[in-house]
Amino acid sequence: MENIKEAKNVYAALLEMLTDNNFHFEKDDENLSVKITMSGHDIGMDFKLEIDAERQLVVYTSLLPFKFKEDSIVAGAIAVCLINFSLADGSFDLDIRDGELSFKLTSSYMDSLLSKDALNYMFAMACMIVDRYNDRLVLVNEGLLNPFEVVEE
Amino acid sequence: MPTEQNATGARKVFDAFCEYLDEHAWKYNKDAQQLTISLNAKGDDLVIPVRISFDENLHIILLLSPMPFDVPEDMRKPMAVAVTAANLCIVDGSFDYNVENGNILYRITSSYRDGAFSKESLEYLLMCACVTTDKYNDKFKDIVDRKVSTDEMQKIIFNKED
Repeated sequence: MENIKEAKNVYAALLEMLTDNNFHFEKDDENLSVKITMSGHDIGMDFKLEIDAERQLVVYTSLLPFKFKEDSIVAGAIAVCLINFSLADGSFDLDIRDGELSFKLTSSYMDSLLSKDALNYMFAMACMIVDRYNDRLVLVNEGLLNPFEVVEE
Repeated sequence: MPTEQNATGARKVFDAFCEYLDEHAWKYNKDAQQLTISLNAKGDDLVIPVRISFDENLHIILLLSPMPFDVPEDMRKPMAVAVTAANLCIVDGSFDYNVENGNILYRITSSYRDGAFSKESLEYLLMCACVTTDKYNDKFKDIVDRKVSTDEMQKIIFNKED
């Protein structure tokens, strides 16, 4: 019961942050989650922002709009590992069974309250990271970029 | 650039973390200038080193647990697939793997922006680091020691066998 109350408070702060920033989003109050699409430099980015009441986590995920081909999976795994090693926060997840690729960034709010600033920082960071690497991961998938070069400027 | 206010926030969280560790009789080393903490936890199989730091620009607590072994050169590419499989099964944090030099470490972060943290949050981060590293370090070591192939390890990871 206490977990749900706390989760709803964080969810309310999340909605307030998105509204304050004039984002257009679709909310699901029952599941304490929000869907939002952002335009990036190259590829549009779909995000799901949700509150995991059981684990007391804020979880931001972005499912990338393409899957890695079977014969590109090893290259994809190498690229994802190198990108993740360069990140201070968040990580890309590649499902090697079907090539599905997503980005995830989480923060615990256990017995605390994440401020709108913290929620905003998380979202800005997630958008920046996905925008920076989504097109490069497309190129790795197509065999047009050496995975070892994926984090080079 | 870190500002004086940022540094104060980081120090507050650093002090709170040290207080938590003292309350729970953890043995640790700290650097009060660099605001870093290091400790070793005892795992089922391997020692679990944990390095805690505070990013003053991003306002995040960062816990890193490096594996006490490196991946040999001839196994580095297939290990990328095993690490990627493990990450899919983790709810919070991730294994970071430098394919170029064979280092693997577990990373978990949390925002402390605006001082929104509790000792329960700090405990959660430390437990995540220890439990997750403990669950997977022997699996990665078994691959490095060639006791199991990366393909076999993927089956173990996705079948959630321990």
